[in-house]
Amino acid sequence: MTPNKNLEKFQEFKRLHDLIHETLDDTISPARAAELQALLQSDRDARRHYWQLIHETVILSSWAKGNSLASGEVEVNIETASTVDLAPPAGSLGHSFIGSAVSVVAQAIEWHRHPVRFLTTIAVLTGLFLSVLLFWIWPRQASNQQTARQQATHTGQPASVAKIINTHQVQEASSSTAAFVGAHLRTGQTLRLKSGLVELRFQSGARAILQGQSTLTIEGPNSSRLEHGKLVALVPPAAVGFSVTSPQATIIDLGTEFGMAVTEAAVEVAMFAGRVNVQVNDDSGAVAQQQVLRAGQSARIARRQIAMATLADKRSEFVRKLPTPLRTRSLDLADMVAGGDGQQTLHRRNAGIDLLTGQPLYSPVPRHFTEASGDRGQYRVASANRWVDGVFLPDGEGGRAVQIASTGLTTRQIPDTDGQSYDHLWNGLNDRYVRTALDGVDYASQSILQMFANKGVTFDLQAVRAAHPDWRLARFSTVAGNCRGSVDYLVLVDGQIVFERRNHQASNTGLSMDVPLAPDARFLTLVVTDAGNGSSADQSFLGNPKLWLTTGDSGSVSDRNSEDSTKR
Amino acid sequence: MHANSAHDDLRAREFMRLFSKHESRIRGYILGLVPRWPDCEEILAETNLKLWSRFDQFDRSKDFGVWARSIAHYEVLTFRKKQARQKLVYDDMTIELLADEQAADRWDDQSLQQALVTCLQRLRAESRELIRQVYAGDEKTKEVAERLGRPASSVYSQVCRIRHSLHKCIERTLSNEEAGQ
Repeated sequence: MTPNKNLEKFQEFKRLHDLIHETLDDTISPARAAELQALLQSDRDARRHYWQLIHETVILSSWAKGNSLASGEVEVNIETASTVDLAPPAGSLGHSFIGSAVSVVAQAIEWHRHPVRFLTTIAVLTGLFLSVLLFWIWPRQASNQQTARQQATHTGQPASVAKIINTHQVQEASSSTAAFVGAHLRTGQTLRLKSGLVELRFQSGARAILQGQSTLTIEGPNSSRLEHGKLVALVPPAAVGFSVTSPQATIIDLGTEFGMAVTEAAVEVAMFAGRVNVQVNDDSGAVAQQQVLRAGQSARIARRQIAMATLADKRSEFVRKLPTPLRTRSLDLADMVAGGDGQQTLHRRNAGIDLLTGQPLYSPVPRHFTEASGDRGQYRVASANRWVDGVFLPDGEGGRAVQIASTGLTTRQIPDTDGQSYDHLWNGLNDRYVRTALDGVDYASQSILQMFANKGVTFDLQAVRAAHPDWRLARFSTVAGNCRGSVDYLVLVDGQIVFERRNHQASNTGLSMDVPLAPDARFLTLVVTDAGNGSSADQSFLGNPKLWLTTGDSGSVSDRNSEDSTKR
Repeated sequence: MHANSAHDDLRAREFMRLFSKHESRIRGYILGLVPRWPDCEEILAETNLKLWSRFDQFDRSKDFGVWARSIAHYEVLTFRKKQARQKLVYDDMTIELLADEQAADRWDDQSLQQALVTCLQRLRAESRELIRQVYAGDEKTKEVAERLGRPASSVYSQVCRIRHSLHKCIERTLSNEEAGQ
């Protein structure tokens, strides 16, 4: 390769590397972030290169943190590798990574040696699996704690090793830590709960539900100390070795779910699944007695003695799952009309759907009257839009059946109109003369679905549910307004009118709609007509037209306590 | 040992083996789509739990890495939905393009790790130490530079040059291995 080519290659590399590095460093400017995104969107080679750099970064980072780069099936001869003369000159690592004079080679060997030794051992000594596992846990646990300590020395304060991920009716006693969702907990921090429940996730992946009244101290990324109170721990395989100490005993998890209750007199352990090792220490801290508990068993440790019991007596004492909180979020129908996902992630303002073709429209488009004469009033399937089933120019002259869905669904409840419509179905306003404030709220800065009379649009609720399988589609809501003339508003669900306001006069007051949606509702149809006085001046819009999704039992909009609630 | 617990042990061991084999690739996949370390670790923890809870549904004849990535992808999307729009680094289109490209990955993790080991030990000790400090994640590059008493731009440049030589070394090592197979 010529020097020029080399330089070119390096410059390409440097550009992408710097952008990625700044992103991961969280120091990237908005302009540079846009540059990275544009590069990734436009250049396939850049995307390939990007992935390779990301994977190299992950591996480098793992090495730099001193983590074991676990590799379950490494096919290298460990003994041979350890004798290869790769060691750098003595002292060449300066103040060395992992806080000691460990060479890169030793580190590399450690990456491979550990899992191989582990797997070999369990293959040979299956019957002694438990003891092997215990043997394996300790160094891992010690390593975790060492990592936490290293992080502490680097930054001058202990690193976050756990996070509160859920709470329920928490009342704190005097506390060094506020128990709110998202709070990061560092080694040494103590949670003192007067009542309620707090769910923690440790860095290792282990989860614990702490029940008030309790006092829990975080001891590391995979360990804690329960002074008194109750907890339930759920430990995935990757976090095996999770431990909870108490004044009388230490519980070391072997991949399981267990409950633990600590009082001044005793420690009780209840096994829901898997196994734990219960250790009772003597006054010097040495292990005086230990016992493995299996699923279905429980034990009581008092006066340094372990007594076995059955789980049946203990099961009801522990909370194993927090009550599901009511969570609510919304999808913006204006954004969906414009081809977005309802969450405005694509910034699809100033786009809409052509009433005559059902096809997408993008700004700028000419404003015009559309006539419903001939077949022009027919239902148009919006084939390019995932959420909108179709659009139509509503005219129910003579009580005729008007098609309102692609399935052939019709209704005879559409009012008689002049058969014309001005402008398009549009996300945002395509007409700057329209007044957008209602009840003191300017919807121009929030969300507007422009629906000048006469227009109809049908949303496919089934498609919305399919895209959000973990959520329940609960309601539709909006605040409608028109600044001139008068209009009729109709909301239909599967062809049945669920909201109706005839001859709504122009004013500064919004018309609130809040419609519950049945679990099996398929089509939501919104219709704006001219109230029998012609469509030319009926400049109507829907402010914040939203579908509300919830995970709780109540779908009431007034109950929402979600991230969206502040945006209304 | 009870039959059930023996089964659980085997299941857990198999999961651990597969997960540890693919962990850094899963982490990389998440980091590529959500390029912020704390977010990545949070999504990885959720992914780990999902993988374990659905491990019974995993078809053993299929590639664990592909299955794990599909679950990680879902967790990424779930995470993105919870985030305020302005906090997202990439838009939906970029996510889709990146996810498509990831499917055509050239080298597996083991090979990358081994190549990196080989290449790291060829670096000068000071370079290796600088890389370690920058990638340990405890400090931003600017903070590393401050601590070392050097201008941040000089550290950025040096890190980039070291990464470039590492990258070329890794490519060379892997290509040689490929050619030798």
